[in-house]
Amino acid sequence: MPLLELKNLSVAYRLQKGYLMAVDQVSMEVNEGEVLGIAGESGCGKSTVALSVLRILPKSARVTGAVAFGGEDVLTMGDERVRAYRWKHVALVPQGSMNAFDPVISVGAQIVEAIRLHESAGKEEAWRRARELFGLVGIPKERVTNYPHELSGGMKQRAAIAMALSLSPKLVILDEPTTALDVVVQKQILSLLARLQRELGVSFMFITHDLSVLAEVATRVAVMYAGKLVEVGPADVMFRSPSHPYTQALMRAIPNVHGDISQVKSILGTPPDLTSLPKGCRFSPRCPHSFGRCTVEEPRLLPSTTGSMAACHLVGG
Amino acid sequence: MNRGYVLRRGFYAFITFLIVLVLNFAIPRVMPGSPVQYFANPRILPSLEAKLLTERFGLDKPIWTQFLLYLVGVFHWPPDLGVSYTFYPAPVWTVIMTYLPWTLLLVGTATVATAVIGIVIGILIGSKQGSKTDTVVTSASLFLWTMPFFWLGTILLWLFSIYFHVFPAGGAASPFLSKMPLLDQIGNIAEHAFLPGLTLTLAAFAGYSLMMRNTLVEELTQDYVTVAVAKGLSHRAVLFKHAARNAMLPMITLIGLNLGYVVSGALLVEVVFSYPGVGYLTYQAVLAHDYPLLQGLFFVLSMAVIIANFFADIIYSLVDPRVK
Amino acid sequence: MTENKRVTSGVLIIGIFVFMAVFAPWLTPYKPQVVSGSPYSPPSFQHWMGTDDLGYDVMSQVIYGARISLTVGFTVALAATSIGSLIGLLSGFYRGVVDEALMRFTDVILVLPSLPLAIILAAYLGPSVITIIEVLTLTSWPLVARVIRSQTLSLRERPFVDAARVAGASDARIMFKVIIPNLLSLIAANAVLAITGAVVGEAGLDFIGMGNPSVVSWGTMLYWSQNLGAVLRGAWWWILAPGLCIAFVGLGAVLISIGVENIFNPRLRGR
Ligand SMILES: Nc1ncnc2c1ncn2[C@@H]1O[C@H](COP(=O)(O)OP(=O)(O)OP(=O)(O)O)[C@@H](O)[C@H]1O
Ligand SMILES: [Mg+2]
Repeated sequence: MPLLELKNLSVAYRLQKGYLMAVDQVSMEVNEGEVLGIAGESGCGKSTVALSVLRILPKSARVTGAVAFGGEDVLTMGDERVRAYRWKHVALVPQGSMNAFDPVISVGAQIVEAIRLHESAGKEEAWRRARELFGLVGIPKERVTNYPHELSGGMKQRAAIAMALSLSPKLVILDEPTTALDVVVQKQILSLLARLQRELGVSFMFITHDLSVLAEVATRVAVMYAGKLVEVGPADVMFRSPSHPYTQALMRAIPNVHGDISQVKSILGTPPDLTSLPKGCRFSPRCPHSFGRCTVEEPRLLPSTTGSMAACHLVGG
Repeated sequence: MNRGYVLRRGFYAFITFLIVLVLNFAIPRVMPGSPVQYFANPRILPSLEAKLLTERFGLDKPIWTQFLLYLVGVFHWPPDLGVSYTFYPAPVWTVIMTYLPWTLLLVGTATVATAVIGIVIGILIGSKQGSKTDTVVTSASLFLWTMPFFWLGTILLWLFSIYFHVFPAGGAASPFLSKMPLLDQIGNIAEHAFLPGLTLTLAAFAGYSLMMRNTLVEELTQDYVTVAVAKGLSHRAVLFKHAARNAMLPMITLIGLNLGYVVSGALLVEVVFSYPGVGYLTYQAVLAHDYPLLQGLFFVLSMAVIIANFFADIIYSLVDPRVK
Repeated sequence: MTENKRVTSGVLIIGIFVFMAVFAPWLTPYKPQVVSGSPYSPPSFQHWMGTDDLGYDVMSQVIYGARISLTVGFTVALAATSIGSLIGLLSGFYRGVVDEALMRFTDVILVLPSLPLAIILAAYLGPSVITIIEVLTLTSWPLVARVIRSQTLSLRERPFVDAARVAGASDARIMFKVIIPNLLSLIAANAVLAITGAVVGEAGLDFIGMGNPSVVSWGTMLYWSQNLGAVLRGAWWWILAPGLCIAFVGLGAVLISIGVENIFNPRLRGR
């Protein structure tokens, strides 16, 4: 049984008029000890997936489908149960985690808050563990009493990771953990994450713009486009022989432009407006291989010849 | 506490003090008419006294001499702000000090009450942004907020004192106050202060609740709130331990800035309730063209507001670790 | 859409009062300062809002009173907004020493209790409508200056300002032709909001005897009713209407101001 399983997950945000389908019928899973990378252009629904897993979407969101953690349905959990589930089983390093900490409370106290909320640890015990976590992520232990603004960007990122690990969860969702950092610090954070993953055996859901980052850490890679999962498979397959034209375009972009997906725009134009999607395959207007059927019928996710699953009429169909 | 910050705020407060000092000196002197007429009018005061005052403040001397003598007076203890026409021969300072405590009581309680009520209501509507409650409460507080202080006071006075006889119709205490047991004394004072205080509170809380609401709505979209929810905190805990706590910070500054407004309101409300504070005194000074007293009132009230603002700054530096 | 509704109802409210002020002679059953009934008559068919101590018709006074209140309100709002915008613009555009000096001064006026300041100014200038306008203008521009300054600070960093500078535009041109057009909605919102402050301020000064008590305005009505003890006599009708009018004008202005601000600044929406 996979650790986390999303089945036909759809999320729609209510707008002033109508709805915006941010995630559409996405199914994927994360297995124990694995790093699932999720890549895609800005606005394709990556963060929305992350928030659904913790059931912390804004009130304006309508969710359908299923999110199962360890076989238990997250979407139907009672209030008490879901609060106990959060952080204990799945923790989050949010996008823009520069602001993950409450600015007027010391970082240590915020870690302690998480520990004492879920476990019957005493104050001193909890602080001792917070200091240890700081050591684990490579921040001098005496800095636990610092306020967020007293830490550098890289340190804040490490502290956010420490807080995510504070209850030894099975799964940590990292939403663009390296985006706002400079290249040197990015490298340090990546190797820290790789080390933690090896040592603790924790699973990661690693969300990013930057495919080259995934090459270093991911065991499997999922690619999203305009709310849809377009291809998912083992990392080596995805990097070596991607099947979906969109994945191919992304991969081609890696070597020459640091793999930043934003560069794909210049190659292919921009993704569609989620409130007025094209008919058929959502990628077809940008796809070099588009043919008649693509503008009529939406492709389903099917096994490809290389060993991934891809949603493209050229693959499998 | 951050020493550099406190020093800087102290410096600003000092500059403000200097500007008030100059304004207070300059205003009567750039106006049509002579300083002698305003501060030592021989047609109002006994001629000997008028002469003495003219001499003491150099009112017939060049402007720099006047300014120097003015400073000497201000930095004297107790400050020498001249002699009141209405309360002759009492010095302005003494007159003001006998009335000021009542105003401080009124403004102090009203400030605490407005802040507490404003913050509570702000949290209530801010955490339910866009709901029916939000719309109704926001509109109602806006309407209260646009009512003139003194008019609202008049209506409350009519309703509760004249029509229903629930509260005394004026004054700050019964004439027999000193003969009462202590507890009754306090009760008596509270009873007299209730309606004026309520008036100030009703007319001013909306400023805070709207600000609190908007700041809270803003805070609730911050990443740290998402994390707090993800950590498994309850809705209440997220709201009170994190979001509201942050949203409350700007309120401290606002309360300081608003003091001048509340003091202004208190002046008018005191007139309505014949409450013997500096507002009532101002009213009498206006009727009697008592310029020395009016200048003194402006000076003392401005000082009070500057000092209170400085304290607000210090409190801010104690609760927000980010101030530099 | 609720924003538009807000603005519409605000405009409607203010419109009604403007209509009252302009057409007062045709709308009033009596001259405002002519004895038309017995003193202190409660509301009746002859006098919908009763009469005052001299037997003048209260409703006629309320309608005529709109003239002074609105004149003062609009004039002060216009003057204070102009001064405040100019100071805020200079301060935010030049920053540095200019900013520091102007903002220090602005903050002083802002924190000082405005009423005592207004009272001493008015005491020297003598009671008149002009005095009230001058005094209220002097005490109400700082809030506008603060808002405009902070907006100018952020606007001056925008690319189109840089573009104008590169194109060789003078400072004055950048300020008035490039930055001001981008501030118009904010300036409008603040101008309308200033009406609230001015109308309430006018009434306050009148009430404490700093206006000309022989002129009919909402403030002087409240001044006389206070001085003659209308409350103690239970003549509530003399007090109720002028205050409600002030509050409604204030509310109308606030509605317009919030609506305008929200339309142009969607982040605040639903406020
Ligand atoms: N609270 C919300 N209300 C309405 N629409 C939203 C909301 N949050 C996100 N969206 C929309 O849903 C879509 C997906 O957003 P999401 O944040 O999941 O994208 P993302 O892939 O994480 O993008 P990025 O890489 O920029 O973080 C976007 O079009 C976004 O505009
Ligand atoms: Mg995202």
